Amino acid sequence: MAEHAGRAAAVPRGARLRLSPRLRRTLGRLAVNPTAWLGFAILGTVIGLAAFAPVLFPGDPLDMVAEPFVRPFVALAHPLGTDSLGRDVAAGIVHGARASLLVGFVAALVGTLVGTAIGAVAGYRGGLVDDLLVRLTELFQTIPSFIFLVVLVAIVPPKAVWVALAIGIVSWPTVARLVRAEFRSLRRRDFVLAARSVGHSASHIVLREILPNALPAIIVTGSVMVASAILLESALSFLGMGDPDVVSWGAMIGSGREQLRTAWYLTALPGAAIVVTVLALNLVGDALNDALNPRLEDR
Amino acid sequence: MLGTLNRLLWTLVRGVLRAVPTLVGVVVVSFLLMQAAPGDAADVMAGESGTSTVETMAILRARFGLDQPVLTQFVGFVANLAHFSLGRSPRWDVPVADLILARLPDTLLLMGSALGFAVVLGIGLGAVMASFVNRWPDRILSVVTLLFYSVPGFWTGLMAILIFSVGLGLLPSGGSQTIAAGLTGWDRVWDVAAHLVLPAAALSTFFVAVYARLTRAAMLEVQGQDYVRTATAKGLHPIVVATRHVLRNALVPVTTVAGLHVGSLLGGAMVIETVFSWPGLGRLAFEAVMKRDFSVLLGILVVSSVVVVVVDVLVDLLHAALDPRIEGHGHG
Repeated sequence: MAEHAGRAAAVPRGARLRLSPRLRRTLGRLAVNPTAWLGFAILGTVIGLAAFAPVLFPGDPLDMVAEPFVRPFVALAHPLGTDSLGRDVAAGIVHGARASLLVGFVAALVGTLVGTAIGAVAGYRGGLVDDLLVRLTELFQTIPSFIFLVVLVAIVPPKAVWVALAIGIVSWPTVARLVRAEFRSLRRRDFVLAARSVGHSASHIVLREILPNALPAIIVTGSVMVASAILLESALSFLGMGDPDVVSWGAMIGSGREQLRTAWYLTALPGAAIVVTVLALNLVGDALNDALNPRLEDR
Repeated sequence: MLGTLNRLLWTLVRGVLRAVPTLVGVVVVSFLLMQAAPGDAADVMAGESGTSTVETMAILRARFGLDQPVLTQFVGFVANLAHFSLGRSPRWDVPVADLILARLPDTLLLMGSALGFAVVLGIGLGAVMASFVNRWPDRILSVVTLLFYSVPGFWTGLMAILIFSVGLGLLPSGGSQTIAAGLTGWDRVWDVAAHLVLPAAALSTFFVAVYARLTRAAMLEVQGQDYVRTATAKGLHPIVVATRHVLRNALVPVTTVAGLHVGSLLGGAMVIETVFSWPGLGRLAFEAVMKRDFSVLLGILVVSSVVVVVVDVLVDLLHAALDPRIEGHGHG
């Protein structure tokens, strides 16, 4: 997906060091970065709310629990008010965090795995295989991803898992391009030549030698992918194409939109939840990028 | 001069040659998706009329060629495309190409405005951030752009409607022009522009953030170069150095990426058009999903992919015209 292009350019060129000392330095750099703390704190809170949603707001959040259009901060039982069908907005937002995070992480995982596999093979093998896979990646980057996603979701059953898979399928090309570039530059390094001369197999070299060194770049892209997957999911469910059995922020906005003039909080509150969560993920992504980017140290 | 023309011609030829396999791929993917779609148009129409017999279903299928073997259908699909025909929509009962072409100009207007707005504002913000790097204007704008990155476009659009249409009553909340107002000339242009402001702004937020960050990074990269130091040493005013020497060279990555963003803009337009009842391709796609008309949906997929490919070739041509060193390469 082209959205990442700006980010991908800022991703480190691959560090040479072994994992453990680098990991220690990375964590050290994260620990002194205030935006990293902020991002992780918000993200942790959202994950916590999602995990304890059934305890905090027992029962189905799609059930009618009070009279419609209770305004926020008026009734103690319904702190964020109720919607046109008398559903509790706070319960919807907390339960909606589950759907958003689940779809976001599963989609990013699928996209990262597919993209890494294709990019690794293309970058390591080179030649005809590389040409073909680059063509395939370009093909998937040419097709406008959101429209492709809408077509896919219209075909598969309207279940959250399928939506997550579809988002993963439209977002792998960014990762594939990045991983291919990493592998192309890493495969000529001395430590790879050394591994090859010792007689290690191709799969050992790819998985044990090159991949760990390409991992920082993959992790940063992955964290940004979670954010964009949550945005894609919210747009889909806003259009009414999400899982109808699961409460989600996009769907809440989609139905609250009808009452934009009279009950604007029904649109504003779930949207704020999306913004806060995606912002936290972007803060974490930026902080990871800074922490894993060795070029910053030179400056 | 002849050299420039030659170079442009070569860039064009190379671009078209690269585009052909991509477009073939798009056609194959579209056809496969069409086959994968559950039920066909005849099923949907039968389900809606509620009284279909096996015979009428067979007639419907024969009419749309749905009873043919898959390979025959594919040959028909490709033959149609070769004649710039995307088939006939079972639900609207008009040629798909007509439906799409009627909506395309409105979408291109929305996309073009949003892209232009995003490029201008993004480069402006990026230039300010780079000039004040690590000082408070840079820090504040960094937070603002990160926020722009994180806001869903449709929500921005709804909040903009709430503030500027419902609250302040300044701008219209939907449509692309005042219906039945019979406006002509500049009045009409002004009317369309007023309708365009909110959707274009909502569509552009994400891209403003992308270009601002990209411009900032590119300018910081260029600032360290020797020729910039030379310009400063010559005693040129810092503003002249920033605009003439730094910004100009930082623009190349921005235009490259802007070309790549046409696909994302098309996708974003689909949601924004739904929010603002903008009568474009995106709304047509949404209506096609609701009516389960896959021939229209896939027609949109093909046409929008063609738009992306055409813009890609155009960006290459632009680069080849601007910079003699570049010899037409696509995104590679």
